[in-house]
Amino acid sequence: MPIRASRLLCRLIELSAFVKGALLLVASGFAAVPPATERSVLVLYSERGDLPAIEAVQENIRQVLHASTSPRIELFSEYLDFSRFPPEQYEKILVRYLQERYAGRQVDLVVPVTGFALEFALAHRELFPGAPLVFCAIDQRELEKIRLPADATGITAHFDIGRTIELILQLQPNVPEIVCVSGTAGFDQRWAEETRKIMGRFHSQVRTRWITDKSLAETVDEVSRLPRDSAVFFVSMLRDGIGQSISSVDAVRDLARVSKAPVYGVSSQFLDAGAVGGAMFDFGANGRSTAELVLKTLRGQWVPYGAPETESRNSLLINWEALKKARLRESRVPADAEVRLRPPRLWQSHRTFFLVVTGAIFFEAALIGGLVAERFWRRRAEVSLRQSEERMSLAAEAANLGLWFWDVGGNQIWMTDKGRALFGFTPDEPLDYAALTARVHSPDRPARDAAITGALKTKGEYAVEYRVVLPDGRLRWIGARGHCTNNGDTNSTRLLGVSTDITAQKQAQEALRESEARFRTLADTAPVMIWMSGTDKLCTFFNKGWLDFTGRPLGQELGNGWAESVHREDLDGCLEVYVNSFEARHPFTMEYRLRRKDGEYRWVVDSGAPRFAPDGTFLGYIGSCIDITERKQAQDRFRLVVEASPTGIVLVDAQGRIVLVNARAEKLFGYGREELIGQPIELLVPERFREHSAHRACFHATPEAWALGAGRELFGRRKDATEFPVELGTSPIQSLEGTLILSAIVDITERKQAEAEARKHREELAHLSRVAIMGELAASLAHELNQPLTGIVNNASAGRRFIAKGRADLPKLDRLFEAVVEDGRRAGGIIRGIRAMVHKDNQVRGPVNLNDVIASVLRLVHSDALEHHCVLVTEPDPELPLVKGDQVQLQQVLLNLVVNAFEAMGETPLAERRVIIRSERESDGRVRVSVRDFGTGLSVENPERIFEHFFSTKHGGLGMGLAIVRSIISSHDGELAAVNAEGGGTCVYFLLPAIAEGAA
Amino acid sequence: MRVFLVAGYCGGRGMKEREPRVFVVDDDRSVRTSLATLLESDGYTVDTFVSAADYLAKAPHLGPACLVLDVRLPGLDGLALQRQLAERGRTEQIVFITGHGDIPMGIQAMKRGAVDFLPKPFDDGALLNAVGQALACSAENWRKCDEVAQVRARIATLTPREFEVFRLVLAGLLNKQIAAELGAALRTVKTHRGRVMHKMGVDSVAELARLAQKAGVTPAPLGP
Repeated sequence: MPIRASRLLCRLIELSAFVKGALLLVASGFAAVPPATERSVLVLYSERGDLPAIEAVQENIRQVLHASTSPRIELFSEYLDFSRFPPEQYEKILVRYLQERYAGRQVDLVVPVTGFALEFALAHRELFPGAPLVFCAIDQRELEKIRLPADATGITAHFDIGRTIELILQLQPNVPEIVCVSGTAGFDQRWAEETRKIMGRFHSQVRTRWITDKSLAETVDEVSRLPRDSAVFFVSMLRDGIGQSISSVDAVRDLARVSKAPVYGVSSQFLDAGAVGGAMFDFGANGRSTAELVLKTLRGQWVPYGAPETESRNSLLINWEALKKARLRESRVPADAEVRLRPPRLWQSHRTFFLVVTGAIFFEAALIGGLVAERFWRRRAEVSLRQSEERMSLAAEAANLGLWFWDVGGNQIWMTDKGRALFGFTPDEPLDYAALTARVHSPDRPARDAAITGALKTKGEYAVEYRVVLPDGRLRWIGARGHCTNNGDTNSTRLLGVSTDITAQKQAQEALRESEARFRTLADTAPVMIWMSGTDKLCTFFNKGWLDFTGRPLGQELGNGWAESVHREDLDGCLEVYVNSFEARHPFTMEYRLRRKDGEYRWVVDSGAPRFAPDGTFLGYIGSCIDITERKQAQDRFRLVVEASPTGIVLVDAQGRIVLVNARAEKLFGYGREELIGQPIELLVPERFREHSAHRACFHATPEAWALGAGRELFGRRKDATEFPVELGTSPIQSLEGTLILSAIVDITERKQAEAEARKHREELAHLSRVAIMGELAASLAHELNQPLTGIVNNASAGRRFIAKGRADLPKLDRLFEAVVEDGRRAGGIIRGIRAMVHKDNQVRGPVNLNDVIASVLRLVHSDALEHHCVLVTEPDPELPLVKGDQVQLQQVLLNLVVNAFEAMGETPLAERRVIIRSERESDGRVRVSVRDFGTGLSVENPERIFEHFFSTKHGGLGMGLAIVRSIISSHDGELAAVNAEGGGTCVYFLLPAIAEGAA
Repeated sequence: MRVFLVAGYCGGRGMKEREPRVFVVDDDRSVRTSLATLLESDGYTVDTFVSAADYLAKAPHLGPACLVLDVRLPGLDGLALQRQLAERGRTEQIVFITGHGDIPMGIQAMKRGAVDFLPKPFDDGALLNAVGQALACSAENWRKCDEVAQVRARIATLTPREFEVFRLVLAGLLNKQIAAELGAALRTVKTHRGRVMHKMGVDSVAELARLAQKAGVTPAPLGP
């Protein structure tokens, strides 16, 4: 056992011994003191004292009460033995007996054990007045029948018959019947009664049979004949069928011995007697609890009946041996059951032996383990050492290092094989300083000697490069580093170090130098200006081009001298970009003005990039500059033009993103340019026009310039989401970046307003003209209206007369009313026609049949024609195509022409006064309507004069009529003309485009 | 002897054709028919015509006639028709209706003998009154016409000698003066006179004179 552990154990033992001794001392000290109080407790047993259950109770009560020292208990016990001495006969005697016996004694507390005793005690409280009762082993059911006084308490017992029956059913699910066994004593009968009640609950699951009123022997005999799969429930037998006094435990023992079927019961005593089990009441435990309650009561702690402490619990107990004997499966045992009487396992019985053996084994194992570990670690260390030695050799090999060690005093040189090989020595040649030096290439000897001597003198380090001449004549560059190690005295100075072949390096250096020279030449001959700077941002190099440009010597430019040539305004920006990029090690491009040697400031674009060594170290920057003055000027001009343009300019790339805007565009749309650049063009277009991007896609496919907006009303969208009408002209630009689209945007709000005003004026004028012409026709129109009105009045009056005369019949009246309605409608129609003509805005363009227009005009001028004694003739084309136009305006046109025709024939004889209105389809698809009169005709010199504004041959005429007619016709995309007709008179006609078939 | 133009009209077949008629001329159908209905409702017999020419083409009605006429008509207008009818000596009384009341036109119409000049739409009572008036006037005319015809018929039964005597009696001459004038015997003159008085159906010279005036017979001129 580990020594440390055993030491600890000894300590513990010592400690506990000490503590125990102390305690004992204290306890005995207490014992010497006389007890503070002494109490008497009387235990009344219902039955006799030699029943195992009662013995258990008694034993436990005795143990607990005698253990109490405060108060000290004097225990009295009386056995009432009611089974053998029935209370009816002996009660009185018992009372007198108790009275006389305890006359001089003070009984502080009475403990009735089992039901009868409690009843007796309650019935005879006068025997021990003032003594509280603490009962024991009384079942709850019994207690319910008794009215307990306030000074009675106790531990209730529980004979759990129901749960025991359930256990039977659990362990033997297929049990055919349960045989109940009970005796004839009062106690037996009471519990048999209870059992019957409970068995009633299970009558549907299992049959019940009772064996009572038989002698014990008979009972045993009967039970022995029971089949194995049956079950016996033992209730209680204090007296058997023939009057013998029995102890239940003995009875169970006898039964268990012979019964093939398992025996169950409710008392823990039965378990030891061979019963299989049950929900068993432990008399002993109950007795203990009761005694503890007694002590509490005597100490003043009253626990009333019903408190949780007064409850007792029965556990499910199983006798393992009996279980096995009855061949019942352990798996059926409920989980909460306590299995007792299990034979102890092997190691349980020989515990000490096992422990010792196990301890020894573990100890041995630990020892072995320790030894093995120690060996393992040692091995590892050895391997590690060997490995590191190897590694060092390898490293040295790989690095081509020759290790050497020179004992200066003893003039001894030790070198690794590699080192020797470097110098061209074989591994076994003797080496000393002179031999080595001999190999050194003569020109390099002085430097080497100096370095070595220097190191020796200072006892410091040395590093030198030199060439050696190999035996085959080749030269090899060697780089050697070393340092002195000293043991304290000058005589034994030692140098140790490494040497390596640096030929390749040297060659590389040479090459580098050469390439640098080449670079320099290149830089100087290139036509661009080149500069270089180091890691400190200061410039280290300017090529010839730069120096020629600035006209300054290199010395002035180096460092930060170059900045003096930079234009004052650009300097800050220039330095900022340079410094920032430098910090970030980013390439940069910047533009600034640099003073040329002639004093003029030229724009240059300076591109710089960081330089890195092959191993990645930052070396500085290198850059170039180009004179871009011309380009810049051109750019500027362009930019100025764009910026100053009075139209908004927006440049859009192939993805539809805005690339450039000018100031006017900013103002138009209300954005700053930084808000627009990069945004999609849709930002400036109201949602409903946004399919514009689809346009753009096809636009790219055929990049020809076309002006958007032809025939389309376009709007632009400002930042505040308001819209304004725009005229848009776009054209594609092929640039190196791809196709860009240039859009010129003009805000045509004012123009639109002006147009709208003009249109309004025209409409007003047209309206006034319509009103005027209607005014001219007023009289005729009034006449025209009068006709239907007259008809109405006449018909209505006639109707009234018929009625008055009694000659009215309904069909006649109906006809009259019909005529009235007809006339009314006619009048309404005329008024509508008038209204339409004088109504103001009627800009309704739709398909119009000109024949209908002619017909409506005829209606309007009917009376006027009569007044002028003119005859109207119409020659309509029945298949006249439709035209697109405003019906009212076209009516106005025709009306004007017809009225003019009437008036033109003022001089014509009545009989010849005719106006011919003809509609026909022209060969070019247009529709022609002509109005021909037989008047004087047009003046030959100037037939067009009639269309002039304010030209009129009418008295009091404004002369606007035909001018307006012309404007109406032209707004319908038509043509108006007047010619002299054959046979005299004027023919005025107009042509209008027809609506295409199917498009109407 | 004067042949009265009117004779052809005022004579003829007797009183049973002398029922009143109303004629309506208007080119507007609804006016035409509604007017006809109205007049019929008041118990008149109506004929309608579309134009003035149509009306003229029809034979004149023998009896009291009223013509309801629109001024504005295609072709021959109302006033022109009135003129033509007057030229032809027609007897129908005209009531003018018009859609546009025009004072000069109205005055002209009335001057030319129209019964009334009503603007459309007119009060039905006014129209019917006018028509009634016109018919009454026309009927009176016809009565007068008949009377004259009657007298003239009587005169026609006179022999030429009797006619002469008739005229001289009208002149107020005594019988002996008449005899002297004619160169006939007094007794003969008396006989003639008596026959004239009998044929004419009168009792006194005054009556004779009235009849003669109706018939349009002028007394014989006297004196050198």
